[in-house]
Amino acid sequence: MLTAQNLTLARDGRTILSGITLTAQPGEVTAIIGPNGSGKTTLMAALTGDLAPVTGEVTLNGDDIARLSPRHLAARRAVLAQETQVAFPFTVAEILQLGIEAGTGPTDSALIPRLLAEVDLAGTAHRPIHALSGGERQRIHFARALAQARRPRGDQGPMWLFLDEPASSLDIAHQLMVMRRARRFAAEGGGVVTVMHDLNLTAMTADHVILLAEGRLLAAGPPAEVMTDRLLSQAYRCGIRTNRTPAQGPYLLPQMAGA
Amino acid sequence: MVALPLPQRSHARPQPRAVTLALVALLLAVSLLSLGTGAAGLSPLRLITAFTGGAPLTQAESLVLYDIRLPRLAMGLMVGAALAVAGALMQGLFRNPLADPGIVGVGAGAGLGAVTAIVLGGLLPPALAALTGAHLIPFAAFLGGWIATLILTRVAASGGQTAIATLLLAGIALGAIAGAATGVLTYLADDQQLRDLTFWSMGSLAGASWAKIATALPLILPVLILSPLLARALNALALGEAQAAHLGIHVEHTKRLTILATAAAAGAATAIAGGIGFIGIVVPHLLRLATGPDHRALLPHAALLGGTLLIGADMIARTITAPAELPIGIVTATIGAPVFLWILLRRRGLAGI
Repeated sequence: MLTAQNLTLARDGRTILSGITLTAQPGEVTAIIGPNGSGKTTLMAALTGDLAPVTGEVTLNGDDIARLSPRHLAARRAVLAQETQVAFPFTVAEILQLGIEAGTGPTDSALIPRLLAEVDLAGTAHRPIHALSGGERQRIHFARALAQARRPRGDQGPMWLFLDEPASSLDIAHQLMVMRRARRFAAEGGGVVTVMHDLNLTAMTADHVILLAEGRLLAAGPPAEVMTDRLLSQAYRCGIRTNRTPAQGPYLLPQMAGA
Repeated sequence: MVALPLPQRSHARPQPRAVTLALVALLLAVSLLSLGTGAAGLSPLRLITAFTGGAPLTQAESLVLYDIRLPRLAMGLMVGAALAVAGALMQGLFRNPLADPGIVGVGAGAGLGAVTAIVLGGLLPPALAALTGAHLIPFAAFLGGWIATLILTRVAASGGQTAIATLLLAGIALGAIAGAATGVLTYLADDQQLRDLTFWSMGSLAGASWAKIATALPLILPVLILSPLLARALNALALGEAQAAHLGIHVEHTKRLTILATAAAAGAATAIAGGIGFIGIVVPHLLRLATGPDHRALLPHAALLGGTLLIGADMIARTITAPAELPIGIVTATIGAPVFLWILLRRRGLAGI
């Protein structure tokens, strides 16, 4: 289980988020949503151990992440950042190898081709990553995170996958592909925490939604409870009306948005 | 759609082991050529026959070989390897192929350290002076290079990103500060020290001796042997500092060790051979083109090719204007500066330049 207790987070001395208490369960996809500048990426940085909180603590499978060495932390969680710029012309296979070495669990020569096929980039292993398009590079880094998290359940409990806007630069087919793969990772016993921009994709994918607004945690719970007209309108500061198709989660129509 | 059976390894690079062997062979060949080149008539062929059971070397020939050419070869290999590895380390640290100790002011810092030791070393208490002995100058150069690198990382790197413009400007500023301080010290120097300074600042392998090698080896050898231990961390660092941490790398440790290693190698090399530029840029760049950016291969290969390139440049330096000798820094700059411009041209428009 992932927990955060009473977090206060600041960047350059300015408080971004305060009073954040949350939990995320393995076997579920937990989505963090909120308007631009609401602190989604800052919260993600605290949950992955990049940013030390001013107050409070984050625990992963029962251990305070501030006390885990980078090596041990890497054996428990993999991260896909919003943007990754590679400084030298590494090949796709070399990038995935970094993920394989950081994670734990069995590996074989078929792992890299299999991961590339999963992100629809089979046959690119020996190409320099700079030769790929932005969306393709993002999928390679997703595959690198999957390589690190190749064992959804390990010796030290569930493995965690942190994704910061994994679908942001992808076309609709690949958005669905990446989110389905994340769902499968959760179904296999791992935990997924993802910052989401697209509310429809969130409603389709998430088991648990955390809504941030104005430096606070506004609501947390199943999509049907959090993604309501009242809460979303309050968070995003515009009139939002969710709709429902029978027996499925909420969906939105931007055409229905008020002022 | 029909999937074409594309050759899978069409973009694959040559096997690292084959490249290692080729580099070792090249190093041995150039070394032999270097040993057999010089004012005294002692040719490579003569050396081969002498060591394969032919007529043994005369006493004069032995003297030329063991007291002049061999120490010069050893120092060239050591200095070239140190400069190339320092360049590769620094480029990995700053995530930029144009970072080089000579260009970003680390060489200037090391130079200031060495000059300070030459001019003010006599002020040390005799007991301390006896303790440090000949190691004082290399150690002072290491200290100067280290301080310069620390200032550089403080000024040029912010938020895990290093803008090359900031890096180069910081290098110019550091160079100017070190130059000014060196200028003041030259005024304080006496005649003998001035002669030492001039000789040192020319940048040459001409003063090579086993004693000089012994003073720099304790700083350079550990870096050459241990730097591959930083390879995986530097590979991960190429993705960014946060990403490296996600991959299990202790980023602060890596940065601290890389800075120390760069300063030790570049500082000690500068202390015994003066300011020799561009080896640190040209060698890693050529190797990245040939075998890719993986630091596990890059760092040992840089040591091999750096040594080879410097003794090659030294051969040019001492033959092209024979019997006079060109400062080797001029030769490396003539080869290296156009390569630097070429990298700049190719990367123009890319992020980070």
